[in-house]
Amino acid sequence: MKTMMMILLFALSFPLLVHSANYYVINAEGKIYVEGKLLKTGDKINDETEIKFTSVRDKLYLLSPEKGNFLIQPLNKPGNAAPNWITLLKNALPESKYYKTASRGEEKPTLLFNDVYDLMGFFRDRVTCLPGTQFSVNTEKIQMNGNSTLQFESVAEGNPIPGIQTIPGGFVLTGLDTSGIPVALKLYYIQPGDKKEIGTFYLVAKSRAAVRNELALFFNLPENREQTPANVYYGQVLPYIREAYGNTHPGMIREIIQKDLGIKAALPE
Amino acid sequence: MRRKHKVAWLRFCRKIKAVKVPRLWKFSFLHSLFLLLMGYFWLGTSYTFEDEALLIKWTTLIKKELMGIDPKPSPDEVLFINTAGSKIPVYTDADALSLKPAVELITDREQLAHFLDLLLPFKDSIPLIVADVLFDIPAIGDSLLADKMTKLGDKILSVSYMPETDSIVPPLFDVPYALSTYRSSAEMYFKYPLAYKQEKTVPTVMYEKTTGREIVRKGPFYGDHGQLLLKSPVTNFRLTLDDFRLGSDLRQKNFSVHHLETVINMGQFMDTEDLAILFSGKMVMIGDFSTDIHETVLGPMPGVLVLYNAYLTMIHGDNVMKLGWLLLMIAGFTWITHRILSGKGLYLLEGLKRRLRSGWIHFMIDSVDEILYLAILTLLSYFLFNIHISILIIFIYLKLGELVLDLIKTQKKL
Repeated sequence: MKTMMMILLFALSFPLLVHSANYYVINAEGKIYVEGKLLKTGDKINDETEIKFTSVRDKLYLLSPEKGNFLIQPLNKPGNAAPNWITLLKNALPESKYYKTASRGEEKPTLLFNDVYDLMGFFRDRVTCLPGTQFSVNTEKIQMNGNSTLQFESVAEGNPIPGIQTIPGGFVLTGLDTSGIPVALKLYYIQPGDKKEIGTFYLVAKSRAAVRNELALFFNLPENREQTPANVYYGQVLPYIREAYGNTHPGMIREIIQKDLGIKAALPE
Repeated sequence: MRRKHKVAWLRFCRKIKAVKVPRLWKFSFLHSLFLLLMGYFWLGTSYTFEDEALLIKWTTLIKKELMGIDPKPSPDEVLFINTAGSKIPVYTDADALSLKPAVELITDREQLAHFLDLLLPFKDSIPLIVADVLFDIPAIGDSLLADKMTKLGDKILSVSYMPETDSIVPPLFDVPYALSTYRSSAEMYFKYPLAYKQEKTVPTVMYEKTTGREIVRKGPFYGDHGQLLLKSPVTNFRLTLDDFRLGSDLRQKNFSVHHLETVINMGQFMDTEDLAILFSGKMVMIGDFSTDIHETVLGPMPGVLVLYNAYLTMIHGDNVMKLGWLLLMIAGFTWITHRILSGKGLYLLEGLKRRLRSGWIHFMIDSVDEILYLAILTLLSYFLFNIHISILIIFIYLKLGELVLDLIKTQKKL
């Protein structure tokens, strides 16, 4: 009888013993609500929290003390008429899919890939990209239409795979995770009946703000103020970029220096 | 009963003694011991040939990717902190001939101190904090950081390095440290030595601190509680960058890289219980995941991950010369020596040899045959015992020996 009572008590108390994991908001991109309040950095939620996304582009970056970092996005499975805007956190298991974001139409590409060998030379070892970077291709040699395209594939399961958005005369990488953590990827050039491997490399995506802050360090040093921007660019910035970034779009670096840092002097191409 | 066993043992010994082992096999056995010793010392050096690099790369990929033999540590055992986003500039003496900047970007000491402050309440439950960060240049926040490090006592391990001048550059603070330097001749990382110029390296000290054991050096050999250790084991990468991911399935635990600044900011909002979950029972590895990158057989890898894998290699005993491994090596080397000396044995390319008559072509075909056997031996060694052996140097030695023997035989005939 005593044993039966013990079992009954244990069974009744079991739901109370179930551990509910906490998650802390690192970053909420877009407008994401919990109980009518806008989620912000540092907010604590758990498995049972009902989260409301307002756009398919919303992203919720979470830190779980127990399980690591997570990215939660609104579910938008094929066949669904509309995305699931409201979901319990525990049910929010998004597909490994990234959504295209708007590209910067006013920027002119400056890096030109004349043929696949140029692509092979660039997309190898380590590549650093910024969201919105436009790459130019010679469309006579590298056709990018409905039948021919460039495509990323992940080297390891679960890695986020950026998208490639074709624009007139080139392409833009979309869905970049700007956490700065290298992701191993393969790039293929796909044509009807042919899939050519361009290269295997580690892609590091950095936010424009992070790059701007790094570059600002060079131009803000007191001893560098007497030097011309071109000298700082050649003598310090370029060696640093080569070492720390691997292959990157030089036009973006120049543009950040000129536009974001307000250094008006013309930098050498 | 004991007497019965003794009699049986004596009979067995008598039978073994009665077996007549041909002199050539005896010599091959003795020579295998010499080859083993040669392999031991060669593995202890920093040299790895490009061809061996290829073999190491492919055996690793076959085992991990094709056969799926790839045991991983648990995400509950380790916490990685990325300092790449927490840099500040410090001014250094510029070399007029250098294109390198006169400014160095170093880890923000104040941020690091704030992070260590978060760890302090849990220091008893943290096995070890490894700061793969050089503290060789004075900077703002040094006193604050030194204070936190002192409070952590022997729970923290900092690093020193050895430049080309061969003199160790220790940290500026009074903090436990070990040498974070390896040498490579192939512009690629392969192996971390247990010690370098008598100084124990970071993985060795990590192993000693977490296990409470001591690795001792006796002459040219290294030992751990009576077990003979390889001095520079080829690192068996159990954790690579591909294992880190931004999770999307809340039911799974992931290896995550936490940005130093993010953890400090989150620390303000987190409950004590959650901070305990985040830190307790985990080895904390602090390092730069963006710029401190080393080329390895599995692709570019941050230095802090190289250190952790070198530590895992030791923890899993992949540097221990086990009895089974010794027997495999002795058997393999004995057989290969006997085959070279006697010209008898299994020849994989015998058919090709019969078609071609030239002595030099025979020599080349035999070489291919022998390198195949040595490759099979290193495959077995890696698949069964996680130990890569250097076969090229052994192969070169064997072929030189074979040439000398042939010359002697020819001289005698003349």
